[in-house]
Amino acid sequence: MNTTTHPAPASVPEERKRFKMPQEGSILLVLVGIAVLFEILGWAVRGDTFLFNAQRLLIIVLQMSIIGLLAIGVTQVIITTGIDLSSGSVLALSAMIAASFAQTSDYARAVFPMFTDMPAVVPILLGVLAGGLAGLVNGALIARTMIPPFIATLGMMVTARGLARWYTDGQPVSLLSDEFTWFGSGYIPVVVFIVVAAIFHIALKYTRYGKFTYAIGANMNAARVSGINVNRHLVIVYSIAGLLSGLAGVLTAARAASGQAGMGMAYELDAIAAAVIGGTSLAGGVGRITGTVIGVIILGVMTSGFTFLGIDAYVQDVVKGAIIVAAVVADQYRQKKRKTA
Amino acid sequence: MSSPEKLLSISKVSLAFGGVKALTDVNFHVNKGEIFSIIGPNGAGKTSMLNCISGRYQPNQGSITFKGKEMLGMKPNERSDLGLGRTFQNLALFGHMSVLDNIMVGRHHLLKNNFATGPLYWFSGAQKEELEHRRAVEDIIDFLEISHIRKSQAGTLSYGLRKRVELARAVALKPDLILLDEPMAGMNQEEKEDMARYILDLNEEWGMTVIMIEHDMGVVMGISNRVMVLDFGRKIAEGLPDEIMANEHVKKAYLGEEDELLMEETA
Repeated sequence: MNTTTHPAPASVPEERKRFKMPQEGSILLVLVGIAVLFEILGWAVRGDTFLFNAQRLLIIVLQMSIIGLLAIGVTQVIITTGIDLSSGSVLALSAMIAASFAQTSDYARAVFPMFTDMPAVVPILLGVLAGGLAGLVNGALIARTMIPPFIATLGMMVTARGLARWYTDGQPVSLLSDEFTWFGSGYIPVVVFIVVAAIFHIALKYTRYGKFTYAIGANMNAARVSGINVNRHLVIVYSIAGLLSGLAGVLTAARAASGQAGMGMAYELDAIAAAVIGGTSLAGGVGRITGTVIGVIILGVMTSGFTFLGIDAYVQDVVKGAIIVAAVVADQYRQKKRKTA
Repeated sequence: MSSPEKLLSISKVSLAFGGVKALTDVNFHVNKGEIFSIIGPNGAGKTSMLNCISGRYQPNQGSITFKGKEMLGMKPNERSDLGLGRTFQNLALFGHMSVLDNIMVGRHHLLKNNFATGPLYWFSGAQKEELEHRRAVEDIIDFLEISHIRKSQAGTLSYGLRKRVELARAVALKPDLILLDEPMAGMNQEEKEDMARYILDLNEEWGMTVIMIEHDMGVVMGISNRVMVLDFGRKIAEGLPDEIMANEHVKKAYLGEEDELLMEETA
């Protein structure tokens, strides 16, 4: 390399020298700040600790592991400049389908009397696959017909919820086998969430799958001429998001020991909010699983903290909404800074 | 030089957007190992021609064969698998990614590891594979002299450097034919000279056939083997640089005069 012909362009190397805080650093600070705030408010308002209560922490983690699975799926979708509004409804559909194949023969009015007492693997696989199928339809619609992801997944959101209700005429599916409900017991959903998060963190960071996902989000034209089969990749991304919604549905049904068509209502919004709070840019090309995981925990801590302080549930929603908007504003600001930098 | 091998043949390609005819019955071929330039006034259909070759547009009629294979109906990524690379007039880069990652994406479709084996990074050979490709990428980085910015975010670089990174991204595909859409637009003289040198080296040392759209006549005439002139979507001339410089149609097209000769021919 002859550096003599290019005597260190003055504008460039400075970029390398400047210390950059990892993207997650600022979000992590927010999380710590919120937790500390609740701790102080806890002592002030209720004279009790917020953080140092093992049971409360467990509940936070358990609640958030389901949203977390959806959030991981939607993170990679948003990175491709897409959006997935269907995850909550697909969760419900998968929960219904999984539950209907997990019933015990003790129940007189089982959905499928001939399919009672199945080994747990059957309902789990069917539930996850149902989610994957919904995702496949999303992806195929977006890639083939070029309709905006917002519309395609909005359609799926309504359709999947309708299917979930229609499946049993709105009746809950109950009396599930112990083998199946074991998967929702204790820490299992948390373990599943952590494992899935780890897999996707690595997949996005180190694999071709991840590089393609970021590339498509950053510049679809450049991705096409770089030899990426953009359409096929989008179908895969949406299918995987669907599979994760299905998995979340299976865990939800197992945890509740029943399938209900109203499960996962508006979860898709929490999932999107978690991704955006965690630094995933709606403009595409930017986002990390670590950020999303922190975003999920922030949402969980907030929900739990508000309840702990005895704040009205409706007020909680107001504050949550404001925080989501603030996260997007922060994202816009970051982008502007990036462009002018 | 007796009978050069045709790498790309375009025959009777027409492209219309509604009533606007972007290209009308364009015929030409590019020989293996050539630097072939397309020139013409603004709106002459130069970029449309490249888009037809790279697969962004589907011509309404005609045929485009590359290495003897008909490319119409192929997706852009299938064309890049065949050995076609391109850059864009208004830059196509992954702004949030590092320069290194930008170039790696160009090579990723050559990687064998997938979603299942990738997470087993250290065990499945994904790491070894990535290292090998990284070496190939290093060659490109050295060649284009962008080593000092390899870790920088591509979107933050100066225009001239971004142009070079985009070229690197296209070169990383190891294409046999590379399409360059105004590789020197917006550059100062020094940058242009560098770019011209890169293009010549790509052609001579890396063995790539080049199709280039460029407005700088000095560069075009200096490095091209052959030149084609488009005006209003029609080919008005094709030949050696000297012939083009002397061509009456071309002079008129560029001066914007009525071209009676051409009107008669095409009427």
